[in-house]
Amino acid sequence: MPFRHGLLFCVIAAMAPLSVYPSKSGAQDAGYALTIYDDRFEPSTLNVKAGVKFQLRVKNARKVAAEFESSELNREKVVPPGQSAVIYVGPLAPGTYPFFDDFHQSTRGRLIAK
Amino acid sequence: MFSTAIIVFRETLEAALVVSIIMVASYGVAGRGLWVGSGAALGFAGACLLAVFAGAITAAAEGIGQELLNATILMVAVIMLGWHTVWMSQHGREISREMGEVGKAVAAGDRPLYALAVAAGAAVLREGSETVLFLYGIASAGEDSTGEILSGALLGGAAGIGAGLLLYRGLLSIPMRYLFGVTNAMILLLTAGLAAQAAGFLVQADIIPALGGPVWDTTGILSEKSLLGKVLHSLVGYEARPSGVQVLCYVVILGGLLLLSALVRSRQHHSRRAGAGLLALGLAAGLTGLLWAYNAGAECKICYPNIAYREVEIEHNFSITFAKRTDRNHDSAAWSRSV
Repeated sequence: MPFRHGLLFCVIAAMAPLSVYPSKSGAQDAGYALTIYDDRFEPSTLNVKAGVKFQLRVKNARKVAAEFESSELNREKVVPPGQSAVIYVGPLAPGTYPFFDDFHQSTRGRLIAK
Repeated sequence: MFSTAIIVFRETLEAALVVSIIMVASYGVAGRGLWVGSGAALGFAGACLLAVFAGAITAAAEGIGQELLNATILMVAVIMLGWHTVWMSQHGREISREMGEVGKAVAAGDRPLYALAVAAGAAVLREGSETVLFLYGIASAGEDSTGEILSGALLGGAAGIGAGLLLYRGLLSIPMRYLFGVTNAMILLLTAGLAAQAAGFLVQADIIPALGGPVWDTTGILSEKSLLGKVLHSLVGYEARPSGVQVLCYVVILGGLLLLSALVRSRQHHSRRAGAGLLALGLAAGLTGLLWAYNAGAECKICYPNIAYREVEIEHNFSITFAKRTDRNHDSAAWSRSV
């Protein structure tokens, strides 16, 4: 099976994302923090700068897992209970971007890029 | 109970659809149930393990551990399915002919079932870990009774697997002589879709550039949240608001696999080894090229003010600074400064 070695090589190549750490360094202009409580996001309206990439740090203050999700931002990420997750967003065009917790869909918020 | 069932259904559906396509694609091959079944079972076991370590994974690699892991799992699935596609372009016709003549399954034994098994496992692993984490969370919170959680999970899981079975039966009703063509095309689109998803995770982790976007916005026409949108997302990689690099990845993988298949088909009598080399090179270059391309452009990058361990900062006056790791994850002072 001459193909086998090629396949092995490809699989190793797929591991490339794992090798990025620790050389990774951010190039974002700003960071914003967001906390998920039992019934709400804090802040529920987050004002961000339009046109620049930024880091969003989402803390889950619940006792259960949450999933930060926004189809407008094209982002989704599970946040285990008590943990903080880092999500890179943007650069965004000015506008309003709703987001919600996919595991508790009544918990909603929005991000306003200006 | 129903909110639990709905969430479990949504997560199960994606994995079930992928496994269904894989089962149809391997239709008639002896031992496929065992292979794909064990792949899926191992994927589920892995999902439970991932859920246990979810906290550590989330905190790993400065907060982007989840994305790196998801992208890796997806890329492994892409390679396995791509591998299968190229393999089928080499042997598909023989199998199709045999099946037409004999009227039942007599496919070759060396069919890359392991590739399909790994791909099925990867699909279950990815979707399963989120489900397990969610269920474990509500179970440990103690707001719902164990019975409620279990029945919700079983109901949602059964509905998701049922939808997968529906797709499986539907595809098998296709006349046998078209079946391979249809499943090959579906695997091709599925592979491209998974590659686009992987690219999405790498953008979210800020490892590759988004290359502009959204390229289009069809949220108003077909939301990814809708059932149809979700199904299309799982099957052909539909995105309502894709970034540029996601579209690029989709096209590159789709085009690349079509090209490789054509090459292998036309050259199989001359040189199989050349085909193997091309496959390995093409896939590896396609998948890792983006990472290299991004690193190559890093010279004009403004670096984060905090320096990670072993990171070298080159100042304008050419002095070199080595800084001890300040543990960016937990350095709240540094964090608030950057906010």
